[in-house]
Amino acid sequence: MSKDYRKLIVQRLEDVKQKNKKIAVFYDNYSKLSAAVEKRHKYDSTRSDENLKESEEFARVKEEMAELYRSKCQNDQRLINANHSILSFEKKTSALLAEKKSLEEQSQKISSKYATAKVEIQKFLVDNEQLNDERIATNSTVTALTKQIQEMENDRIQFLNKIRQLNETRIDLLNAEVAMEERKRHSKMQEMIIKAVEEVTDTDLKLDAMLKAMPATNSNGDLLLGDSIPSRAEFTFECDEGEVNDVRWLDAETFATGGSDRKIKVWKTDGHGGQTRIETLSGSNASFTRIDYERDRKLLIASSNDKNVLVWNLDTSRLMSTLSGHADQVTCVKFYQSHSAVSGSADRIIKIWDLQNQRCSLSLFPASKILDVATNLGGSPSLFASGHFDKKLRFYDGRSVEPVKTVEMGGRITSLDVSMNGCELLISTRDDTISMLDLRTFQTLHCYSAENYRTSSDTSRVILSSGNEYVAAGSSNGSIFIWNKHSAKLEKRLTSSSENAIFSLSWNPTGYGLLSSSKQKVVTLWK
Amino acid sequence: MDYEVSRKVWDSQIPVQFTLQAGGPLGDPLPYYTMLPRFTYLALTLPKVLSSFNRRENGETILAEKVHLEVNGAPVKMYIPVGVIYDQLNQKNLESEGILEIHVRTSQPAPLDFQMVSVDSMRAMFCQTVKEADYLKTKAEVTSSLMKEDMPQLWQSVVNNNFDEYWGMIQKLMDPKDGKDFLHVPLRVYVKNQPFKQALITVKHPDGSLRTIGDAVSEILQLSTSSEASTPTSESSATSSSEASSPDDRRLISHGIDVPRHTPLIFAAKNLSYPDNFVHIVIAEAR
Amino acid sequence: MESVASESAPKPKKITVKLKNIGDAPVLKNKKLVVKASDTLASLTKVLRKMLNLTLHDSLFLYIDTTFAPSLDSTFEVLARCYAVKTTGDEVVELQYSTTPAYG
Repeated sequence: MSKDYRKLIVQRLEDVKQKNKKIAVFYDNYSKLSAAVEKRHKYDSTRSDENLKESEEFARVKEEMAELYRSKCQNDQRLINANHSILSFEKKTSALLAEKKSLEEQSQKISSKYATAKVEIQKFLVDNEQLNDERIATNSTVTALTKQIQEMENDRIQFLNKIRQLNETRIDLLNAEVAMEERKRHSKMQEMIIKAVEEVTDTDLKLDAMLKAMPATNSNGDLLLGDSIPSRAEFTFECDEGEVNDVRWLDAETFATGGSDRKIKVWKTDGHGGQTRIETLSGSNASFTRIDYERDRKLLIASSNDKNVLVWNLDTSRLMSTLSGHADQVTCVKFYQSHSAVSGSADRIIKIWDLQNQRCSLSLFPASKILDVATNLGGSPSLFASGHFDKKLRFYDGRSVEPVKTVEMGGRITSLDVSMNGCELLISTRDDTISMLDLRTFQTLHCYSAENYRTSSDTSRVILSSGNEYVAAGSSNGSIFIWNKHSAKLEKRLTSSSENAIFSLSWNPTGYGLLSSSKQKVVTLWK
Repeated sequence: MDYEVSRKVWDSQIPVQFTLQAGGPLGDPLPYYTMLPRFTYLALTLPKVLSSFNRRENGETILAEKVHLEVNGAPVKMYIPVGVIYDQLNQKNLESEGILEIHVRTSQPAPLDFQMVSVDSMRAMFCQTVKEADYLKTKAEVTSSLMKEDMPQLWQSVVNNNFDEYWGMIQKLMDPKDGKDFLHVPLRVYVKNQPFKQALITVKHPDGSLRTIGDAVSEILQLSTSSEASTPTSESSATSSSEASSPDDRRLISHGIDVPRHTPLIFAAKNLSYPDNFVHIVIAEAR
Repeated sequence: MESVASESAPKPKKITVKLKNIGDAPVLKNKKLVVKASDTLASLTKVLRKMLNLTLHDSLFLYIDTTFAPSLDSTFEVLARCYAVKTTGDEVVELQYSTTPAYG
């Protein structure tokens, strides 16, 4: 009640207003109509007026129109200009928008790249951490492993020592066995001798007289009968599985062969065109290349393609030592001074071995494959020579690592031999030539060659006869050529039944009997 | 003051039709129809109306001094707000419903009752009326303290139909700064065919409760009838017959609406008064 | 019709009006007038114009309490009720008159 009067008043005022609005519309229409009617009235009245006034009016209107047109033109021009500027602005705007869009895209790309890079970095960080952890773990493992390795190394050394000890004991045991057999044989022999002594006859007396009539013996106690040029093959036998790389008389009756059967065999001639094997020395895993023998201590040394050099005592048939150290096939070995040996290898290294301590005492690096070595040269006992693949002959004094003298030859040097007095060096080269070098002057004394003589291989041997009267060499066609050492005249050419290349020759210490070994198992004794 | 009500009062309009009865060779022109704000005066509208009639071709130019205005065959008081004229006539059945039809006549001489009011004298009368209202409200304290320009400004707001200007001025007059209550409320009550009635009516009853507009109107009419009653005449019975009807049946018309009887007098004074600061209430018979 | 009847009422209430000149307005011989309550100020103006011998072109302004000019169609009944000066029990409406506008 209190305030509704206001509401009522407002409501009623509004009602009246609405009602009046309708009337107002009506009024408005009316005023328009009346205005129109009035205009019509006016028009009617003006028509009756003079034409002058009308034309004046018309002219004025025309003028106004013209004015209007002019201003319209101006306005149009302005409008056009404005439109142009609007267009250019729109263009600019669109360009800017496009630019903005591209920039936004770029920014989006960059941000996505950034995000991926961030993720990658995160990944890398994680990886890095993992790697770090792993590294630490690995480090610790490595340390542990190193420790283990050290332990194992110690173990290995211990084991090696043990193995060596065991080897020694084995060797001792083997030797003991051999010694026992020896003793048995010895006692048997003694029995036989006693028996024989009991049956002494005058035949023995005859033998004694024969022995007295014997000529002088050589330095080794062998009977030196003087060099005789062999003319026939006493016997030929097949001894090895394949190539016989070297053959060597040990004394007047026994000789050793070595080749691709990985064994050294010791044979004894029976003097009636036969031979028996009396010993087989093994220990190599590859073919033997060269054999040398020291009579005083009955040591046999051999070089092998299994990179080792092996030493046996022939008295006891015992393997003394295996010298390892070369990195490739050992091509040659020779005893050198006392208790030493010199070996040459395809690994271009010359090694001097201390046989007592079974170790390498010196390594020389001539930078070329060694094909043969020669020791016991005259002058200094420590001097030795080596023949090389690079056609050079090098001389070493056994102390300096550089050669004391180098002589260039006409071809690869396949073999060396030294005269008994140690003053001359026989050299075989691959150019089918054999030269005699005077070691005092290093001058070539003689050259030996023949029409059909062909050097059989890189290691084919050439030798001087035991009395130093002849020079013998095997050819690739299986022939053996013998020259007079002094006159260089070809004295003899021995032709074998087979045409296998001759690898090695050995002249019997007595001067009577020449052994040859060939590519195909065959060993021939020429007398 | 209540802005919404004041604004609505200010905006309320009435449809008015002016007809020229001048004779002449072309006959009378078409009537002039217009919506007039209730607060305006015929004195302000007449020049516009006449210029509209004078646009007519070949018609004699009608001068303001030569015309008089009639409504329903009676002269019109040009110095009271058109809204009041409308409300007075609307209670009778107007010829065209809701339209105030004003006849502009050129016949001479003008009736004695008619007084032509120029715009200038209208301005003077308006100002005097505002002063009278203020005299009732505050013993003219506010108007005497007003600036010289203030009163013409109020008048200009009426002339230009500028509510914002009016609102600034009327607040000074209706909401005095000292915040005192009005002494009396400037209220004029129009009973048909009688001069307006006016009395010293306070805002509140002697017991301090707010006087309603219904109370105030009843009191004013009471005073009139009592003065009439002291001289009983033949026609007083006629008037009393119209007022004999229960006072509650009377409708209090202002601004074209029934003002609720319980509207507080002070609310009416502040928000329902015309720009001349008077509340003009027309008494109408109950429907 | 009714207004005509009321004007010709035989015994209408009378009200005393006291007039006072301001400015250059001539002084009246008779400063007190008695008018009917139903008379309007406009009718008094006409009487006063005659009394002051004013032409149609002369102006005449009436004021109450030297403050405002009341509406011309105010009846004296209203004027007396609202603005009467009560002196010796009788209600007297005091008016000031001027030939030039005064009091804004």
